[in-house]
Amino acid sequence: MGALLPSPADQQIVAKLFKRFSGANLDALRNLQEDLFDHHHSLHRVSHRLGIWPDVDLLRPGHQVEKRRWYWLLSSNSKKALHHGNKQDIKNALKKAITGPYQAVIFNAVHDDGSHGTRASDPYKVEVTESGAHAPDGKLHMVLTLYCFQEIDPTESGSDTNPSADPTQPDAGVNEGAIPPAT
Amino acid sequence: MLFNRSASTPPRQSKARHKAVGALIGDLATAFPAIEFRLAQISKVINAQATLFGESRAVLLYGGLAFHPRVGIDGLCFALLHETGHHLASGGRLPWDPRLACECAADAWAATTGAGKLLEKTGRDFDLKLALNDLALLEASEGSGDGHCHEEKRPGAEFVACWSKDWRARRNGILAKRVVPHDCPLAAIVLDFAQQP
Repeated sequence: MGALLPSPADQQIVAKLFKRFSGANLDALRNLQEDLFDHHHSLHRVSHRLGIWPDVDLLRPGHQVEKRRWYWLLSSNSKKALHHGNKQDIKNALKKAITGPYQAVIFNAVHDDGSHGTRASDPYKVEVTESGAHAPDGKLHMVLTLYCFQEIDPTESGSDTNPSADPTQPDAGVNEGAIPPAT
Repeated sequence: MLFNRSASTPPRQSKARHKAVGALIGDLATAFPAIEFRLAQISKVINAQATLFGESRAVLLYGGLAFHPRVGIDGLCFALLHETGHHLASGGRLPWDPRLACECAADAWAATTGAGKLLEKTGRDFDLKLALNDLALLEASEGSGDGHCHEEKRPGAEFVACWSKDWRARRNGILAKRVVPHDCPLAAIVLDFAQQP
């Protein structure tokens, strides 16, 4: 996605995701002796272990507001956040990306006015496609699009910046289990 | 568009504005038929976006920008050309989506090739300086306040460092007919208006 007015938190999330799910870093995830996207793993904890969160703080520098809101989106049971089906769709897509013949995963967040099935009480939909004719260098990319009925509620202050460990090895504690990038 | 800003000022939803926005989108669609232009009217997000829906290249104009009282039709025209530039410009790529041109390539294309083709195909002209001034005022009123993005700098933090986040530098660069990506870590080439076809 390209935007006229840069939205730094959005840009950081999609840039970090693309970096993690492309090239040598994607190969490293393929070689990992751990299934990051099985039912023992939560999306927000995996995001934390992979180092994927916004570093920007536009309004309150140093308070990690956008990081908290990102984790809230991934973990909250609120109807305004990603619901279980959304998270399962994302995990299934990323598992497919790791096991499939993809060069990279392109992540995309787009507003939806309802034409892709979103609504106020069900504000997010996940769509997985392939880059097809627009594939850079003719290489196959997965495209994971999150359709958003609305942006994260501006009044939402978010959740813990250091989510607790998943009940699975080697994710033994809140400050452990980081998965460093290959590059 | 998860963290984007919504309009804090009441939108300008007059009949005349609707008509002007519709006419602008119609002209863009005529000049660039390979691109699908959509108005996301109900969205309060202050932005426009280039994206792909499967094989279809699209530009979305969000309601928060389309009907913002501080932005005139010239500003919207540049915004839509910039987004079209993401699809049609050559040169640097976005670091998170190699199907799209980067911000400085899109700006340069919008101010030169894009504006020229729009004029040729539809007769629509616009005032670039007025457009950029409108967008700078918008950034000042709805953005971080000084045209700069304050990023938390700490060890281990990854940055998407892009000149385009500094509106003053961006506006001055475009008006001086030179974008300034000499130290841009994202663009693969240095763009100069003189090098544009």
